[in-house]
Amino acid sequence: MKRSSRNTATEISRRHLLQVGGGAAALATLSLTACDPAEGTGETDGGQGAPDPNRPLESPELTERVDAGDLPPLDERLPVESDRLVAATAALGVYGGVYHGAVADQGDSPWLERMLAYEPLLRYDPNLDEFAQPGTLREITVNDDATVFTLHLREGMKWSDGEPVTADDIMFAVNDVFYNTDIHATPPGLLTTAGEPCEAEKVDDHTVTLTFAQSKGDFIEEASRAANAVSPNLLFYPKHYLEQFLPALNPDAESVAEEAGFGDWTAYWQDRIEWWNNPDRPVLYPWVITDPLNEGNVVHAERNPYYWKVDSGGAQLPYIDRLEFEIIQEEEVMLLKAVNGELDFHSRHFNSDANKPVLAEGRESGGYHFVPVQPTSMNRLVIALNLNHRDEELRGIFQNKDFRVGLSHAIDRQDIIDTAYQRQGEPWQAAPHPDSEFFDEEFAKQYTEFDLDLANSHLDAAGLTEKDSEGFRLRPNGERLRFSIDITNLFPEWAPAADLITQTWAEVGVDAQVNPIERSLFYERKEAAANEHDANIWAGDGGLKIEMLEQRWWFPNGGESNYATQWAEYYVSRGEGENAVEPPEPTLRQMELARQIPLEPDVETQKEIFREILQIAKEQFYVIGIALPTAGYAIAKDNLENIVESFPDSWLHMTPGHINPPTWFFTP
Amino acid sequence: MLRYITRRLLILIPTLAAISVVTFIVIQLPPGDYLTTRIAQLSAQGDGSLSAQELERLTQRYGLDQPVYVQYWTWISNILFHGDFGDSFVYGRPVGALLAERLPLTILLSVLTLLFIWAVSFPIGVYSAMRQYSVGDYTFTFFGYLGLAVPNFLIALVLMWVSLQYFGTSVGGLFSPEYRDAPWSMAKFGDLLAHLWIPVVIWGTAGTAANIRVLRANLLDELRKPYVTAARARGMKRGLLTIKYPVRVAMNPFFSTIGWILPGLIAADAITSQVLNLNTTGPLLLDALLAQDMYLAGSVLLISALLVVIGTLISDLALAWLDPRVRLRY
Repeated sequence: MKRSSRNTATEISRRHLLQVGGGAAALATLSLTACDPAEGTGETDGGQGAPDPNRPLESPELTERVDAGDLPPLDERLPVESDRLVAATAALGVYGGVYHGAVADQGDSPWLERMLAYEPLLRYDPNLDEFAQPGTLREITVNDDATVFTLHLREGMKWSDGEPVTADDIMFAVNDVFYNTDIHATPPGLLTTAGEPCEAEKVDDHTVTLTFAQSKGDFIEEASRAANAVSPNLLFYPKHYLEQFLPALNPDAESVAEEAGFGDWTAYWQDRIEWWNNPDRPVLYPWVITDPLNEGNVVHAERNPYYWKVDSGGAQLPYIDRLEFEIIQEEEVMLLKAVNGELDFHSRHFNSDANKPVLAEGRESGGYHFVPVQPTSMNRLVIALNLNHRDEELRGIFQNKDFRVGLSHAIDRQDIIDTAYQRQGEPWQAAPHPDSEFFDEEFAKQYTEFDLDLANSHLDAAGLTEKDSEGFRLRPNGERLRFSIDITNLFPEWAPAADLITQTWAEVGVDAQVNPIERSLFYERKEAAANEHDANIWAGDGGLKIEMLEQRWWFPNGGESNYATQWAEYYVSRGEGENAVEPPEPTLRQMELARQIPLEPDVETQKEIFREILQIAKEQFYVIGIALPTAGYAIAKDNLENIVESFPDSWLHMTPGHINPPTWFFTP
Repeated sequence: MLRYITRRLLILIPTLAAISVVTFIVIQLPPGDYLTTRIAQLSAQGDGSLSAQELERLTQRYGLDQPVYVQYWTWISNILFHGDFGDSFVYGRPVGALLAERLPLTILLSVLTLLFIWAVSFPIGVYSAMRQYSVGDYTFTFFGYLGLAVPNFLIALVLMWVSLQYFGTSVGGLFSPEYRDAPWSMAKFGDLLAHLWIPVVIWGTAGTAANIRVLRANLLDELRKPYVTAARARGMKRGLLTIKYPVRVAMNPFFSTIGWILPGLIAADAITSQVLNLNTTGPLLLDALLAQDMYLAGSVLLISALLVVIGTLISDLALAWLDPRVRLRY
């Protein structure tokens, strides 16, 4: 077995010249001729130098179309000068080129969304430290008690079909889409406070106010990342196109849907808004889909002539002409393509620890390099015992903190790290990451020491003192204490790690069996309604940069809190749910605090409340963590410029959306 | 004869009805439905999840909250009365359109593979029988068995790696990126051939072995029969004689398997097609089954079943025409 080579991405200068090696894979590599200064590529670092005055401000393709009279001139396509979003770029780019990527299958539309559709109302910076930066909106202003938000649109901004973007689009999104009970049974959280929906009011063509009944402390933050098709993105719905599919605005909507072969208008609406399958739908993205995902085997997207961002030299983005995503269902094939240098940028599907050596070996011939990716997860593997177990006796045992502490001490974490994770990582509980502002060493390290005697004493303290002839502990009813741990194949390291865990547990008289199952079955079993799992294993989502957004491991806040999905239902449904079970006092307190956070206008106060939630999580010790994850990696071609040195990975922010694909360009 | 065919066609109806019910039930057997599969997929890739309300809306939209027999009836009645196979959940498009998109390539590949198998296995089979236990016989047999024994998808991965490593061909699919959307030309045709040989050889290797052995065994039986000896004694040339009589008889199995070619056109080796990233119907079926996209999966399986039944009938008729000893009774 070849060990993973040291990550040398840092050793590769991002600007290093393409070595044209003879006999490299017969790719259509550009033979590198000396840059012709007359072309005026104007490569400057940090946009410091003055750009070439002859530098084109729009793609030559578009200039041709303007000259032919098919397209209005650039100034008319962009928002008014003061309202253009100037994107910070490391270098001023050059127009042209085709990005080659891959997408797995029909279910992989989120990858397309992440690559080309990250356009929230406001933005986070690429490193996810700051939010409230300009996005599709110029800005959002807010009153003192965070009850009235004023949304300022960009004057002269256009949809990809050239129609203006106005306050009507936001009014349409709020009143006709999000408050439409046929589409959204309840209004999205972004537009409600303490369950009360806000009121939208059009001030003028470029201004809308949203008035909330109480403070809405998390509005700006959520508006800074909600961008995908299922999130409350107020500038996701072009009214002039979509109104025809809503019965409220078009009496014929039902018959239009039937003609198109859909059972009812809601189905057709859903079909029409999915831009990756509907090239007719206007968007605000840098590229527009021309060949959809559900036809043929390549997805194509072309530059949007009305894209509203410019670089610091005033040139319209995006730089790259076209995107091509080949539909490749097999990960191994994607990997081969990557090794062959056929993928320009990729950070998904095959970017696993196991594949790193193979990809490392192909870097030179494939002409790509690694970009370190900082995981926002705090754990490789979190063991969740079902604290809401249907069996009363087991439930009692699992809810006993001594039992969980005993099990935690009976895990040889270093051994798991050495064998399953190539010695990468350190023993860690389900606690915030060391780089997090909420980092608490005590929380992270509690009960992580491998000590069988200590484990035994805790298990004895949990009242499990009787043992059978084989040395396994007995339940109060006299049967052997046995339970199974559901795992999926999402990460290949989970199975060997789980085996190591159950081996050392057996040494302290606990009989746990690993139960590898298919992913959808895993989900079926842990649903609050089914509640069939004894225990299961998942990754430690949340813990760095998104600590307050992804709270599944701090307290039972939803279906992903595998240790107590019925308590979670109590929280989500405010005690009304069919399968809701009222949690004990400390957990109730956490829920109360979590409800308070969004009602606080001040971010610092929000963090204080959140710290209290973490403190309770630490005392409760709901779940058992194993090891801190180490950096992952993306691959990027050497001739692709303006790629950041490293970036955090977060689904909430649609990585790599926040690292600005429209500013990427190819070395000419 | 006509009566025989009519009767066979009438038996078709209950057979297909039974098959359609069974496939529909089997597709629905695994826990969960299309939506739970989708949610599991989303969360596994870290793409967030659907909210409970969103889920409820989609459940109603797809009619997943109705009992199985209602769902079945919706599906089958649309097929019977409107020729409409329903929409695929995964693709959000009509099943018919999806199949139409992929059938030409699927048929091309199947036919080419079949020709390849016959062209290779036929001469080798005859040679192996005529020169039993010779070095050549053993060599061919060895390679034949090897092709039969190694799983196709593994050969596919190895060949892809080889073609990448030594020929620098872009792997997967049937065209290199630069030709994918180009108009047809000699260069594009060359590019197609450079990719096409891989799937053809993979399926070919597996198919030839069985054919060689069958032909060899049949021919060995036939060659020892008195009429061959008698004909040779009358001075008939050995080569001509062999081709004219024993080989003809030994060909029976070739014809009796024609029936399996038709369904193979639709659901040919899905795993290998998936690995090779071919735009054929195989991966479509595999995808549909994995995602519990029951209208798509059910329709593909139903069409496959129909083709099996029709193919078998064609086989029987072909065999009757080839071999006068076969009598079709009714």
